[in-house]
Parts: sequence; C-alpha cells; structure tokens
Amino acid sequence: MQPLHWFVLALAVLVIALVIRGLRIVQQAEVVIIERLGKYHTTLTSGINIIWPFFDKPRKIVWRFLVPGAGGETSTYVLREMDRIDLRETVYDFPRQNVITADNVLIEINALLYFQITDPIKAVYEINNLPDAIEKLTQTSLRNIIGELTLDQTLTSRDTINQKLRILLDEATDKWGVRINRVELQDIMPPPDIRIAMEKQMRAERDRRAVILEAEGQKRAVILQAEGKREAQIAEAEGSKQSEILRADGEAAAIQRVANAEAEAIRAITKAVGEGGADPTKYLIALKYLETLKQIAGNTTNKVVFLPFEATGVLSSLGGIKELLQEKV
Amino acid sequence: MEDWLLWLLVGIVLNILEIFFPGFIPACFGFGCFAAAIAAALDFDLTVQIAVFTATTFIVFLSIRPVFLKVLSRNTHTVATNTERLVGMIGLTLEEVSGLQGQVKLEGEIWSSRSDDGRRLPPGTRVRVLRVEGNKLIVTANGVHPSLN
Repeated sequence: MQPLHWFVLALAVLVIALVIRGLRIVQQAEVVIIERLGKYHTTLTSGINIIWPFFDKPRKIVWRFLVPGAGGETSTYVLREMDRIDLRETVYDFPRQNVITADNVLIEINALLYFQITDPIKAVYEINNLPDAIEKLTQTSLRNIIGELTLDQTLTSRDTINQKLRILLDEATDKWGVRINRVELQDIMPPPDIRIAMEKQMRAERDRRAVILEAEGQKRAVILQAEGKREAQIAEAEGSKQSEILRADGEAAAIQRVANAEAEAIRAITKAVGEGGADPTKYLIALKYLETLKQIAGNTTNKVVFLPFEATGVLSSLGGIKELLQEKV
Repeated sequence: MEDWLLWLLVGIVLNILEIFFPGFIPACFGFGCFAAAIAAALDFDLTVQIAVFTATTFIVFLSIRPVFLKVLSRNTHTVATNTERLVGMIGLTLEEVSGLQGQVKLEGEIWSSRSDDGRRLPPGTRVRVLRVEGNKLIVTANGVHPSLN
C-alpha cells in the first residue's frame, strides 16, 4: 500500500503543477502566442484557455515600459520580456534628437509615436526587439523627411510630416505586423542663436508695422490739417473779398455822393460867380489853394511850414482872387 | 480534527484565494478538496482521498473551458477590439486601391490597403474590410449597404 500511496501523491503534485501552468486566462485586447515544441501552434485569444505545459510554451515578446525615475529624475524605459502581447495602441516618447533641416539649421525635436500591433504572429516572429526597431526606424525616417523641409516649413507643416511619415513607415512595418498610426512632434527647438534671430525678426516686423502705422497716422493728420487750413483760408479770403467789395461799394457810393454834392456846389458857385461875370474856374482853384495852404500850415506837428515855391504862382492866384473880388464896373 | 473537515476547510480557503487571485487555478483545487472531503466522510483512507482529489482536479481542469464557453459566456457579449473590430467596417478609398496598394480612410484614420481579388477600385468607393494582413486592410467593393445611401 505504501508505494501506491507515494504514486498517488506524486500524481497529485503533477496535476497541481499541470493546473497551475496549464490554465491561462487571457484578457481582452491581449493575445498569447503558443509554441508546441518550439513551433508556432496557436494564438490564445481573450477568455479562458488550456495549454499542455509539457510541450506548449508561450513565446515571449520584448516590450518597453516606462519606469518613473525616483526623486524627480526623468523616467526611463526598461525593456522586459512578456508573454502577453498587447494589441492596444501604445505611445512611445522618444528622447530629443538633433535633426538638420533643408536650410542647414540644426534643430532638436521631441516626438511621440503611436503604434499598434495588428498582427501578433508577425510581431513576434518577424522582428527581434520590436520597440527598438520601431523607434530607430521612426527616428531615421523623421530625419529624412525633415531634411527635405526648411525650418519654417518644419514649424508649420505638422500634418504633412505626419502623412509622409505614415506612408513611409507603413511600408517598412507591414512585415512586422505593426501599424504606426501617428507621429506627433511635441516640440521643435531651434538653436539659441536662431531663436534670438527669430525673435529679432519678429520684433523688427512689429516695429516696422508700428512705424508704418504712425507714419500713416501722421500723414492723415497733416492732410487733414492742410485741408482745414485751406478751408479756413478760403473762407477768410471769401470773407475779406466780400468785405472789400462791400467797402468799395460803400466808398464808391460815398465818392459818388461827394462828387454829386461837389458838382452841386460847383454848379451853385458857378452860378453865383458867373452872375458876377468872373471866371468860376479860377475862383475854385484859388479856393482849393487856400484850403491846401491852411492844411499845410495847420499841421502842428511839423516845425516846418511848406509854402509853394512859386510866389508868382501864388501871386497869380492872388491876382485871380483879386480879379474875383473886383467889382465889375 | 476530522479528515473531511480539514479537506473542507482547505477547499474553502482555496476558494477564498480564488477571489483575490482570479484565474480559476485555486478554485480547481478547491473543487478537488471538496470531492476529497466527501471521500473522507465516506471513510476512505488517505490514498484514496488524494486520488479522488487528483482526479477531480484534473476533470475540472479539462472541463472548465467547455463549461465556461457554454454556460458562463452565454450572457457576456463578445466585443471585438483592435483589428478584429475593423472587420466588416465600411471605409472610403482615397486613391485607387489595387491588388497591391492603395489608401483607405476608416474611422478618421488612413490605412494602407489592397483589394482581395486584385480588382481596381477607383477613389471614393465605399469598401468593406474583410481582414487585416500585416498593417494592410484587405478590402472588397461594398455592395449596397442598408445603412449607407
């Protein structure tokens, strides 16, 4: 009975081991590749699965995990082998790398890579160390594409870069059963001197715009001022013209009236003098002469009294006066 | 302590363990322990008890998958994810898809594709995904689909 007892115990241990190793629950969106004696046998999908641990073994795949750095250090990637193959989209963040653009600027880019295993069998059997392969391939492809673009294009054409990259990478990763969905450039860092130059350019551009705007404003202001002046001058000229005309009209009317009055007076004098038989012209001249003299003499400010040079003229006019005053016999 | 009580206790402990470590491995042994407890209650000796435990565990191990698929999966929906989900979907060709290459837009993403029978499908054709090979969609021209007009 003793040997049988040991045999049963051994059998129990065997069954325990079989159960522990043979039952596999695979989660949704994961698969396990099973090899039977080193040859591909089957792919376990989600749910409960039984394998025969004596000759079935899961094939492992190298996978990358982000390990957060201790004490605020940057997190690092660690490669691990695992037998579960994750079919979900995965993000890799690769370290900064230097890339030279078409216009020979050395820029630092930081890219994110989104990929997904579409065919787990190929991903296991067609490529060794898949994460590294994907990363290196993406980096070199990115170099290629950015090498064809200028710095300005690189900064603005993310979509173009993405599309080109995807087509390029699709061809390469097809046989690995991996699809690279998206490559996102996180940040593009131009070298410091280029950045300073870019800032200068921006500042200059803004300054230019400010100066232009100011000049425009001044131009408008000057034009407006000139227009205002013009209007004012025109109005003033109009006003003075009007007033001159009016004044002239007034003066003309006054002169007219004075002349009329004088004519009237002359007529009356003529009449009066003519009745006496004397020459009215001479009388008038004499009258004017005397008036003028009075004016000259009455100018008190002058120390000098002007007298006509021709005494004879004076006398002759006096003679005229005398003649005027002579009684006609 | 009685043998059957001990088996029962171990079985219960194993089933408790199952709650914390899912995977149905401890539960298998738990059922084995319950069977052995019955054997012990019927006054069989230890060898027979262990044999019963082993046999029951093995039977449970073998029958668990079919039972699961039949009974437990009856009211769980099978949800296709990842590439399986794409099969049967309708996409739109962006450029001519031939038996070798082409681009198809599916769910807002552009996929490299090829037609399954080598037919050339002009741009703007609605296509149905048959399967995914590598990272290429294998598509076929979609007939009249009720949800699309």
